[in-house]
Amino acid sequence: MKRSELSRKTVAELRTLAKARGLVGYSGLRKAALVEKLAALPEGSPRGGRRRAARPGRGAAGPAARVRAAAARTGGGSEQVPVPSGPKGEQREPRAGSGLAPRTRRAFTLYSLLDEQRMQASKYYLGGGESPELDEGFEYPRSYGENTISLMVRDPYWLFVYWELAPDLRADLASRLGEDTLAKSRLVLRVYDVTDTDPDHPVSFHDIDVAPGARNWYINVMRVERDYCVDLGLITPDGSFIVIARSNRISLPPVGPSDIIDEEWVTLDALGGLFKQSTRGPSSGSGGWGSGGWGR
Amino acid sequence: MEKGYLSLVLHAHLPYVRHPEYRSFLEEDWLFEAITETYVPLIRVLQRLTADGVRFRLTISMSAPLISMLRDGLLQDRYVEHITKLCELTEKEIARCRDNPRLRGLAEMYHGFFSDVKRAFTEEYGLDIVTALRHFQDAGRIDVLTCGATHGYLPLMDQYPAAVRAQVRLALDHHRRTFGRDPEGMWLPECGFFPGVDRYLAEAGIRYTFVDSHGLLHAVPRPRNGTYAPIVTPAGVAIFARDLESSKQVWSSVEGYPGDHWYRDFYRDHSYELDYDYVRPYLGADGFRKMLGLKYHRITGQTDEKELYEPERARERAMEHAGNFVFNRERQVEHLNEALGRRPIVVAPYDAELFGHWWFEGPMWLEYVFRKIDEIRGPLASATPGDFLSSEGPFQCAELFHSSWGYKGYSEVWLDGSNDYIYPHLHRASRRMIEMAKAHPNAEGLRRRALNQAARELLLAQSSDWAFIMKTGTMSEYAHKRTRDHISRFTRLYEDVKANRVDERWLAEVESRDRIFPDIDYRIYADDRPPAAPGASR
Repeated sequence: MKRSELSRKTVAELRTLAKARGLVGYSGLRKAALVEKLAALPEGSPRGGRRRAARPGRGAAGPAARVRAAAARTGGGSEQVPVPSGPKGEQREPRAGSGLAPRTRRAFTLYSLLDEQRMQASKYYLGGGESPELDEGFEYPRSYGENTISLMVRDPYWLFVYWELAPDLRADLASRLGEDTLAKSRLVLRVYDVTDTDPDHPVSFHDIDVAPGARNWYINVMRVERDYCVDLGLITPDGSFIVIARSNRISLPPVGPSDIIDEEWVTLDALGGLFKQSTRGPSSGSGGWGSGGWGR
Repeated sequence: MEKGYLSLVLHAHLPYVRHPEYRSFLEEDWLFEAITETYVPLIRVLQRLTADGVRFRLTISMSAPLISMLRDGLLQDRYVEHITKLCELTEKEIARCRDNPRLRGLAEMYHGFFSDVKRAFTEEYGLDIVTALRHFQDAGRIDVLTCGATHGYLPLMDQYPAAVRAQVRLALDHHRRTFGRDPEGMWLPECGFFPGVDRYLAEAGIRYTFVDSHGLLHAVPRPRNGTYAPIVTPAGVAIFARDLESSKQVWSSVEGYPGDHWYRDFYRDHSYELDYDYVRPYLGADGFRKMLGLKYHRITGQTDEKELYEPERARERAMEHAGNFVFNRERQVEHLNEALGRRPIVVAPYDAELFGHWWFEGPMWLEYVFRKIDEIRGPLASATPGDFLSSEGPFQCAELFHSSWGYKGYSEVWLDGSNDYIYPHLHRASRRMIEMAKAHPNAEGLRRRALNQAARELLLAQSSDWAFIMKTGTMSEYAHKRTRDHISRFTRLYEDVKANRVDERWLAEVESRDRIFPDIDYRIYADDRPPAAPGASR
């Protein structure tokens, strides 16, 4: 295509064209550069053939994203069913993840999930590929420059913790402890049970050695229905513990119905929409809760 | 006299997807398909019930992103184009199938269906689904609730009170502007409850919300009436719980109605079997095949050899299933009434998009359920949670802990190996937003615009849809990308504001893309104190 012809197109159109022509690394380009690249291609140069054709490192979310993209392309290893298509037209039909017949997609994408999640996922299911990229060339920062650790509740049995080490932490520790001591120290997560207390006076704690380079961890708790807090720190050869960062504290939810059956009842003030504290409610026996609850 | 109540709750939400920078964009079909198969058919149901004088009460929660998209001129125009094409395609289908009476009949059915939807959307509703729905609110038939501002999953942002508060307050403001009144209740995105979230609701004047069954059954002290009465939290918010039995009848693929062999198959789209040239005009600009809605087959069974759909049989099944559902609820409330010594409420919440989109006959089923209840006028009446709070009581006080209605009941769907990488960035963005709001208590001009846009980008990144999609694998690339884009735009705004070098042209471009919450005020993030502890004792 001629330069003048290309110049009349919008950037979005040029990107679509670049993708169709199999160009890589065009997503961050400005219009002029895009025009140049496209104009330089010989007429009828072969198309990329697949939509998510290798993006160079920049702009990709990392190896994991590439693996995901690859899985999406191949249908995650499930057998591919070619799209039935007419004698004509076949030449021009794009082929990619979206070329998978719906049956294959369905087996791969949705049947492994629970019913409810599968039905909920159906609202995002279009049986096609995915839309063109509007890549802005952004990569998540590896670090925000601070020592931080953050603790989250996944479920009654599991905590999730993520952390980040400041770039100057290593140098800082080396000057404090000496290179030799630092090299012999272990980086650990110290998990405190802080139920009714604080991390300086924990009920108990245990350590988890973390692999170098790890940035998060799922922690299977020792005791359910407790409060927890986690320190990221170093254990030096002499056994002392140096805290690098301390997390927020969390409370795990109960794993079953409560044994507490004291009852307190309120009535609704229809006028103000406020709830008023009332006296004890209807008879306070606990009949009916004997076995397995109601209605079965 | 009724012995108990059925409260049907439909939660309507889609993430904000709007790409003016492209001529067509595949993921905008999420909205278009939901309009065609869910929202218009549901309004049709409300219209028919009202016209026939059926007494019914229905609760619908609508998220701000969905409302914003439904009211967006660009998306409305694109939808008209979309539905017009479907009308055209099905007309061609009628001609193509002329020698096959059964297929032809199905093509005619879809043509009639799409044409009716188009007529309703363009002529009757004037392109505005929201106003069409509001009419039924004003007429006292439905209660409309709000939801988290961008459907952010609150338990995973609980460390940032300002972020939680913004999700609650902005949703409320948006709802008030849309529906002309405050919502009585709020649907917590994914029923995601964490200890203390009720304080944010109380602070905003919300009277009630919902949790999944176990969320309430594990409350302390143990709720005497199980899931059949709301409890009131120390902050003064009433909590209703999903009823296991009625949800299983709809959600379960084994016992659930939508899996019936006579119902339409969701996946089998005939357009995949047609010549590429024939369907090309109906595909997006990228030319990739996608579902076009020519779903001519019924579920048939655990087989890939699908039989053709028979609309009349499916209708009969929907009617039978509605009868079965009402019968079961009647027996349930009779039994509960006796056991509890009070009128129970059976809360049956569903994703609205389940009805019509996944379960094509769902709206029809819903209509029959309401007709049946009204026809019998026996032990069962339909009621909204608000009705129940006004007419029943007293309510037991209890405290609740983490829970959600996701797989396994807690946060695993939104926090696992497929999506956990987003939280350090979402959390950092929340912190930065708070930092900026505090640093600039009275920003004006360009800086103010930049700060408001930063708030929009943070909110859009927080949509629980992205983590859910990453987890389930349907369109996950787009979900990764959207999260990255919003964090990217947020980060640039943050750095530009900090360096006092906001690029007006770039900002205007971003504003024109991510247009949700036009009246947002970033200063909502300046208050990062947790809500006050309730005065009420435990």
